[in-house]
Amino acid sequence: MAPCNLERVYDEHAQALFAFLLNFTRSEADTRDLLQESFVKLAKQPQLLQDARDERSFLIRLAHNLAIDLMRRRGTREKNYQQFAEVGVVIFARSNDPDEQAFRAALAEALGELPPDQRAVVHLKLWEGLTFEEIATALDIPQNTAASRYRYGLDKLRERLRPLYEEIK
Amino acid sequence: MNPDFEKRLQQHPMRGLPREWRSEILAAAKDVMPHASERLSFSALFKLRLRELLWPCPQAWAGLAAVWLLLLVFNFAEGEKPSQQFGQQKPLSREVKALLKEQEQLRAELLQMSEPEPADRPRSNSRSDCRSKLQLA
Repeated sequence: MAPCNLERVYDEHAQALFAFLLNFTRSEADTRDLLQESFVKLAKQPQLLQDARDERSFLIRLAHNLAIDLMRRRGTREKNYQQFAEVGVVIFARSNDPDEQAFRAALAEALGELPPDQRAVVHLKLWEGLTFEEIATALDIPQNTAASRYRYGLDKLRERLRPLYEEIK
Repeated sequence: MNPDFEKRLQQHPMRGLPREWRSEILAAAKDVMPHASERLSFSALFKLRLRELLWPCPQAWAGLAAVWLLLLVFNFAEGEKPSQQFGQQKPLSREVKALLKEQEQLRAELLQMSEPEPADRPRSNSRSDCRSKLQLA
């Protein structure tokens, strides 16, 4: 892969990968490392992306696999990866509206309480707009599993955010 | 599923990617990138090397190539002269002619000496002849 192509890939996909990794790992430091690791891997093996049918799905899959590897490595030292996640990590853009800002903070917290598998599916469905088929491909899971994880995740979010949602609505 | 709730969630944009990460991440990626020569095919590599060689001053290389072509043309032109001269050689001297004639005679004698015997000579070493000779004896 030529350096200019690497830059193009970064400009087109890094924001989406950043958001996904930040929501998945709940750690800015890990997100930074994983994003860099993804691009280093791409630079080392340029044919990976050339063979990919859809760049975005492929990159999400790559980043997700690297994040899972990191979680497994951490798992040997940390009993629970969730314990390692940063407290109060900011995953949403700041809003000038206090109500909106409060909702975003609550939403970030509620997302943090979801199991990582559900959180990944919810993120890709809601903020990446992927279909269940695309999510299944990106996360290497059956399509039905993707759909059920989304449903469970969304139900939990709804329960958790109901008071605030009703208030704002 | 509640589409309103989903839409409500989608309205909240994710945080932006820190700008300073771009240069750091791309620099780290470029550091491990295999060199161009490792990735290119032979023909592409040849073209690249040729371009690198000629690019600094293409006029100078073009001039050099023109001089080289001129030299080549002159060389061919000069190379044809000896054959033309060969056809217009002076007649051989008498001593050389005598020597050539002597060599031809010697060659003719040698050929005569090594000529094969006539084919119609009777064969005497066949097995039947040997047997008849023995019977007569």
